[in-house]
Amino acid sequence: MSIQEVSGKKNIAGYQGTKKSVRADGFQESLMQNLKYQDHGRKDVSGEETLTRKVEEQTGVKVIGTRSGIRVASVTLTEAAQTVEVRHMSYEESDHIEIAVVDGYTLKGKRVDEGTQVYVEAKYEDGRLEAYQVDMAKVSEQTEHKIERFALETVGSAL
Amino acid sequence: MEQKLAKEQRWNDLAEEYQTMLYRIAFSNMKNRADAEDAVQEAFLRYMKDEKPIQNKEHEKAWLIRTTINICIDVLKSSWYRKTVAWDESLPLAVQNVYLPYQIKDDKTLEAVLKLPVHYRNPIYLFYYEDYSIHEIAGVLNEKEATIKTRLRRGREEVKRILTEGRP
Repeated sequence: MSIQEVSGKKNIAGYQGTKKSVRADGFQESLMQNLKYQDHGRKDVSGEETLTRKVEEQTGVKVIGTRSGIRVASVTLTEAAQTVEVRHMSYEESDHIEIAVVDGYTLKGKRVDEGTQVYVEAKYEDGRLEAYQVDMAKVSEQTEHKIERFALETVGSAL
Repeated sequence: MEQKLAKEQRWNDLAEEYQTMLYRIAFSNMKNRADAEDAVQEAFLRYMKDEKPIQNKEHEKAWLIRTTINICIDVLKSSWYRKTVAWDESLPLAVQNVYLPYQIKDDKTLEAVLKLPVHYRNPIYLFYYEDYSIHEIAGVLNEKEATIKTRLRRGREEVKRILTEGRP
């Protein structure tokens, strides 16, 4: 077998720029998928909603990433739940508590103004503290929003 | 005489203020009532013997927690304890002895937390069940805040694994 000098790749049979064109197609396909993903509310290729989006919509907890080490969450505000200044309320002072070790947060709730408002304090695994004032008149009994749901439980715990 | 009475009163106040919380922390490490009570008493005795000048309330509390945890770790490491005590079988029952100042829905998670290795257990317990901040836990355990954050995250993953697989 002898060594053949190659001056132009296009002259070799089976090497007519096929690799390059495949790569270009792949890139285009990937780009289209990404665009589709963005445009259709983070839907995967099969068209099913991703877990992230589903969690966000149902609970109001905006999950930025769920891979270990980058798990960051923040609560989407609603008409009923608005952020307020953190009071650093203790467990003893709270009317209702939720300890979610597996999900990396704790919630403390206290009824205000005879239960027409609920103060909710959230502490996250990364050390962040957030507080919300929930107007119970604006909360639906069927709400799936995490903070609103917890506020309902806080009012219910008094009954 | 008056000085002695004042001192006794101070120890009583100290015990009243911290003993329940220290007992819970000791219990989360020892997993049985008698050993937890012994650890708390030992911590109080050391504090009294030391006659530490109190810088502030937070310093006092942190000192007591740190000492209680260290006593627990020392006892757990001792060969006598390892040879003579078997606590594993009665853990679900023993968890009922942790008198938390609130109701928790899910005792299974607390059981899983108590099964964690000590370097995950204490940060997780203090953060979630005693409501300490990362800054406070770092102070109590003499660690960097970044270390505590890492242990909280890894400890949480470990709790999840214990709950799924049913064993530590």
